[in-house]
Amino acid sequence: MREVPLLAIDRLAVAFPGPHGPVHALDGLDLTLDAGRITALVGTSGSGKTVTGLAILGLLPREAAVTGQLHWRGEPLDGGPTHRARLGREIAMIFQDPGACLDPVWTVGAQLVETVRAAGVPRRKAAARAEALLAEVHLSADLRARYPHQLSGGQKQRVMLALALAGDPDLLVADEPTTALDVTIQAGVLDTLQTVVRQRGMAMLFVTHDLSLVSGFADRLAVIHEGRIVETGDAAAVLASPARVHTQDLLDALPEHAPPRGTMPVTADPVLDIEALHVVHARRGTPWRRGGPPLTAVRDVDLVVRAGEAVALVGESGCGKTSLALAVTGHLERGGGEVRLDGALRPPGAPTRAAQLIFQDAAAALDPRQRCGDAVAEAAAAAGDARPDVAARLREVSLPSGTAARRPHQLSGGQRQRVALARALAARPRLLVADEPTASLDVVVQARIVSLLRELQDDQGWGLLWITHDLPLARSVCHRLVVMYGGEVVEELPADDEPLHPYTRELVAMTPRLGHPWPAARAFEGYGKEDPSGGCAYAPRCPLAEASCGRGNPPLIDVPGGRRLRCPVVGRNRGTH
Amino acid sequence: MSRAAPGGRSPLDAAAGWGLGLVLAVALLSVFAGSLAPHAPSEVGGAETHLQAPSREHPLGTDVLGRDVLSRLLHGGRASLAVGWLSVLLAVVLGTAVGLAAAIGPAWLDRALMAATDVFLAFPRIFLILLLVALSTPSLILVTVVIGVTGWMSVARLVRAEALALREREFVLSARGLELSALRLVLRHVLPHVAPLVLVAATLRLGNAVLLESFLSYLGLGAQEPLVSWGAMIEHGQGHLLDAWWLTAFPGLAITVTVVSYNLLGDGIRDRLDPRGGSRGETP
Repeated sequence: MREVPLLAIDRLAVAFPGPHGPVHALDGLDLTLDAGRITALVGTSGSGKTVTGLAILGLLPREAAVTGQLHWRGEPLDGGPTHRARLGREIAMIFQDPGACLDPVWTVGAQLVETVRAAGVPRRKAAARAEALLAEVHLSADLRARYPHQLSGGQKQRVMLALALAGDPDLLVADEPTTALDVTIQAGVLDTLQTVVRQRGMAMLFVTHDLSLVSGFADRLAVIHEGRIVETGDAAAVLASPARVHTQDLLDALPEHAPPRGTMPVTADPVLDIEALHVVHARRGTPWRRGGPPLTAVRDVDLVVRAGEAVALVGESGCGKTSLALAVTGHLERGGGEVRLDGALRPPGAPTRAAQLIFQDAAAALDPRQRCGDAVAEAAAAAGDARPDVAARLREVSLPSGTAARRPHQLSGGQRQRVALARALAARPRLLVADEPTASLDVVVQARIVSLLRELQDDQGWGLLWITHDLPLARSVCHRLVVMYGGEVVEELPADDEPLHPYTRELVAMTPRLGHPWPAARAFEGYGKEDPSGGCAYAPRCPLAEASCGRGNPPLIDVPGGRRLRCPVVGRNRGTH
Repeated sequence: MSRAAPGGRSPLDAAAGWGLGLVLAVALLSVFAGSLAPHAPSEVGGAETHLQAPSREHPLGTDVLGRDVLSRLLHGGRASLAVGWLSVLLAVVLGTAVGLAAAIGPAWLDRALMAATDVFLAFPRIFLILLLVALSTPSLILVTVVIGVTGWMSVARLVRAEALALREREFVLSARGLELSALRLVLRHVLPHVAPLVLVAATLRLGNAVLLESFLSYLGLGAQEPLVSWGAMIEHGQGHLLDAWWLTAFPGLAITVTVVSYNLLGDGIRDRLDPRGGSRGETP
């Protein structure tokens, strides 16, 4: 006889009341989770993966109509008091946005102790238990005195994991726990997650839209589509030979499977020419506290984008890429340097129609009170087209003309980003600056937006500055990569070349790829030095660092093949070979 | 955010409906006071009609001069509501203009306008009003202007704070990127987002303005005979609180009902103007 599974979901259906009859979020979902196994639940947005997680936690909204059964070790889970009582002690969860789950007015230590005490640990042992939990998620005990806003995103997610582990749960539900993190941080957090789950012999349901995270991480894979599991099995086997078209779609959409953009001959005129750009943020004090010294977010950056060319600006959060985007488009004052658009010098702090910004969150970038058609028409009118063909503009970004009458909140994330794109293009820009425009979209939608952008750019010939922390994505969108670290350019290279700088190589190594073993995570989390006179900013986490790296900031030197590199160590080694 | 019950209206909608109904009822009763009132408001009766308790002939009783309280209440609503509406309109227009200019304009303008706001706020409003009214002949127009001109500061601060937050929002950045003129930017992308807030503040202030008018009229500084307002009615009735309660109770009730109904309506307007309000019940 087969062992009773830890959790068995049997023909679960969940429907929400909608204006046009019930909306079915789950439609007969079957899934079993076994102790000691990591199961990845993978699907596009709207496929029902988050609803599945909520159903397991018994946290579905009250108006949801639920049929089907969940059994926990053979006993029914019904969303009632006995179900709720299992939360934290037997079933725990971590979410995508750890910042929203931590209380900003209490220290990490206080929140941990509170949770540990709630799990039944006596007061005198609580502090020691909290410390042990921090050690288990690879955080130093010093962090107990910190407040959540003093932690990095990766540290916050680790604290969330420590909180989830406080009750010694048997099942951990992790809903896209690393989507908001940089690849380097993501690798570390997933590594810890895997280690903890294995050591404790827990089960984990890992919810994601990104199949590249699954290989080397999960034991089992369940692909969800329109509220049903369409394919399930051993993770490696399913990835190697997917049986269902939905699984294949998810695989094909991965940026590493997209055709690389290739390189572009250096013939076209530059649309964007940045020279020695600095962006400095003043740190203002309060009447009670003095402000810190100004923070240099972007230091001495030279950059050229030609007409029809796509350049990726790659780096982790805090490297200055968004400050650079805002300075280039005139939304931020410059601390020095020159920005030329189409050869004309731009005054600082003056936004221009010629350089349009596409934001990560299209929901925030579109006026919620404006109909999508009006948003596009307004941009066209600003460009001198008083009676624009809005339907044609929407068709251009593959949206039906009916979209014009709708407001942003009535559209999906991908549709909203298309509207934002149509609006930006209606302004007839020479340069498009896109700040992680697909970071909040699932891989399938991302792949469609990327191919749309490539087509439109080939057609219309504007320059594209694409800001991202995702190297495979950058290669599929762009001709050239510019890598930033600590506010400076550390390397520039054609998109299909092998990187040389140790930081770029770290980014490559940390990027999860299908069929590759999980990258060995590095313990270093945080930032290098702010003052370049103290040496190379990357040196504190650089595997190639030498004593000389601590003396003076290395220069950015030209390397044959249209490349630039800021690393004398690599430069010297290449010179001798 | 309130959650709509499946297939029904949320309780807040019902409350707002009551608010709207009462606001309309009070407004209509006041506007058509001339034809609805059983007597002329200043019609003085003989000695036997003085201070009569509510009866079939005088449903809300009569005052010391034998005038019908119901008729006076209906006519008094005209003055009270007109002063309330016009003074709030004045305060809101002034406050919104100052708040938007301070938030979107250059830094020196912001400092100047906010300094002016602080000066106005630092001055005790009641004394300012009493001073202004005492220096000239009392009239409802003066009261209206005075209530309006001394009431814009909180609206200005509210609007400025909201507009400052909006200024940093990405859709305003994106509109700036289109090189729209400052006026167009404000009218298209800032004002519509501030409007619900202003409307809610206006409806809440309306109750306040009606109270203030009553207060001034009660002090004898507002409506003058033969004009009648609710505050003036309470003033006339205060000498007979114990032996003729209807002289003060009914105008007091009218003021209370008006203030409460505008507050209910204010909440309702805020919910209604939320653009996401129309699609509740979509898939989460």
